[in-house]
Amino acid sequence: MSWRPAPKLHVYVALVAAGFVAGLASGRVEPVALAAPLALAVAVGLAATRPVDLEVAAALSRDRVTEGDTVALDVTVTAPCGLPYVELAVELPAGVSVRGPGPARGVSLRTGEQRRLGFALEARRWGSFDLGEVVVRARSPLGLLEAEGHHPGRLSLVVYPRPQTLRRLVRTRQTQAAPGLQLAAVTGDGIEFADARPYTPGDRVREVNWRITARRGALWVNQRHPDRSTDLVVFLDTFADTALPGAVRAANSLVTAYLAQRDRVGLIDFGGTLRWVRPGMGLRQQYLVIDALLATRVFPSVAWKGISLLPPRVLPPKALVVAASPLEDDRALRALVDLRERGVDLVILEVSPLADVPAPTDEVAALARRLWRLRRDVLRDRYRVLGIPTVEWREGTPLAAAIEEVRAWPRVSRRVG
Amino acid sequence: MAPSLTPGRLGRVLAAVAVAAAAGVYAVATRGGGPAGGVGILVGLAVALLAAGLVMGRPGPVAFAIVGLSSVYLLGQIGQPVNLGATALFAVALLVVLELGWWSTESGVPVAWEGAAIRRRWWALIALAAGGGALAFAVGLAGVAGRGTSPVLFGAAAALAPAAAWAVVWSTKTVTRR
Repeated sequence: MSWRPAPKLHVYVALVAAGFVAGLASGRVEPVALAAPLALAVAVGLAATRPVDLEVAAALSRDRVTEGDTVALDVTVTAPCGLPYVELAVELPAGVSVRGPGPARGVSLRTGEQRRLGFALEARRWGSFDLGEVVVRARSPLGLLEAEGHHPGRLSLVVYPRPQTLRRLVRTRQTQAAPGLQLAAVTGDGIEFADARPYTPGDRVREVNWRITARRGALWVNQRHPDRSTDLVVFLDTFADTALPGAVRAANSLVTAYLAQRDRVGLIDFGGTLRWVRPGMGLRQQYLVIDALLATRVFPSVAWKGISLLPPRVLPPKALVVAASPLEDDRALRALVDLRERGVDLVILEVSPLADVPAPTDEVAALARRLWRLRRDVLRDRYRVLGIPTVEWREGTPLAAAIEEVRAWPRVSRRVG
Repeated sequence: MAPSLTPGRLGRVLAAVAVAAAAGVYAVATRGGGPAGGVGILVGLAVALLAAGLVMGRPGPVAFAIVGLSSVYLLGQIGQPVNLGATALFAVALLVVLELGWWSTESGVPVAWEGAAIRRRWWALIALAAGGGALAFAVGLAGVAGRGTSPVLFGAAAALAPAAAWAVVWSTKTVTRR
């Protein structure tokens, strides 16, 4: 940082010069007397100026937070030489804001003084952010000189989407062989009672249902539903940025809830670029999927993409595929139909883009909006005819309501084609 | 971008406009002769220009308003004996208006200044006003005292003016090179 003349210095010098010239020209003392205080200000302001030298450091209390959390940003500024007026402003990306007085603070520093300024940052939107620079502006004692410096913060903040609480989840038609918390439709070893049947050699004695045995006069045994795990694959439509933040939030809620039930969860990011995370379970998988969600971007592309590009292990048999999509791009729509035609257990969570569309201002706009909504209704009905549960979800509303709507759907295997 | 209208800035803007208006009224009231209406209009324009510049956050109009007020005062003093006290007070008023105006327009974004910095700035303004007033009085006194030798003074001033300008430029360069 180095001093440079502020506009104020130019104006003051010009006024002083004008006063002196006017005094000389008129032969009167008043113009010089009027300019004298300004001349004093210039002289004192320049004489009292010290070298500008500032050391700035910034640190975050946490580098990973959840949406809505507050994180402390400490900016430490040290002045080897005293500076009377120092402004510090933090440049923040969209999605992160400052609570309290604002992103700019002004301090007065004595020689050798070190000052720590605390900024309370609020993470308002999920994402991976690089915090901007700390802009430092210093002014000389009377503001005649100013200096500006940009100190790179080199700080990154990862904001995870805040998951909604889901007490009940969408059940798959078929479970996997691995144990989990979902009741399988088949019978086997488990806790939940399923049915009773006549005893066959090899059945364990502890499974004998003595009440039925006493009534029937022959041995009957209980059958139970085994607790199995499921595979969930979240299909995220990233062709359009419409409703993408909401789709990511919904996907995060589903991923968190299913992984908490010891299910395997994978992700397909289907958009301008095709990315995937193979199904897995556990905390590590949760971070893998969420990091992939945070890296979600809309890449403009006109290339046609299909699900045939996906490796088979990304879409395991019997997996439940939940597609979070605004149902806007034809490529995503075709891919969903393709999945259904291949017999995949598919659920469409339509993340409504209506909230992003401005209210119509005139009659024509209102009519266009109505036609657009009718077209979306027709599209939704087409999917339902294909046997795909399609529910609408708007950001800000409970995702659990949409899940319950899917659970109430008569989900039977249906041949399509 | 105009600075946001915080209570502190609003107070400074109002104070600057009030001091400028008072100085303008004083300049009109103590004029030696000439049409009062025209001078009054000039003062009104200067104050309006000042207010507009402060509201818009532009320091340029503030400087022009100062020039306007000074012109009104100096034109009113033509043909009148030198009033040292009044001139010094008028000079202080112009300095205060200029400082408050600059303070009100210097930051585009709202800056939360700590109390110590604000107090320091007020003290600096008060000290500058006091010192400036004293200097204006002394300069006026010296000018009045040396009236009999005006050719000598004129020559000295003509010689010192470039030297003073050079000193300002040299000081600025020295300071900014640090």
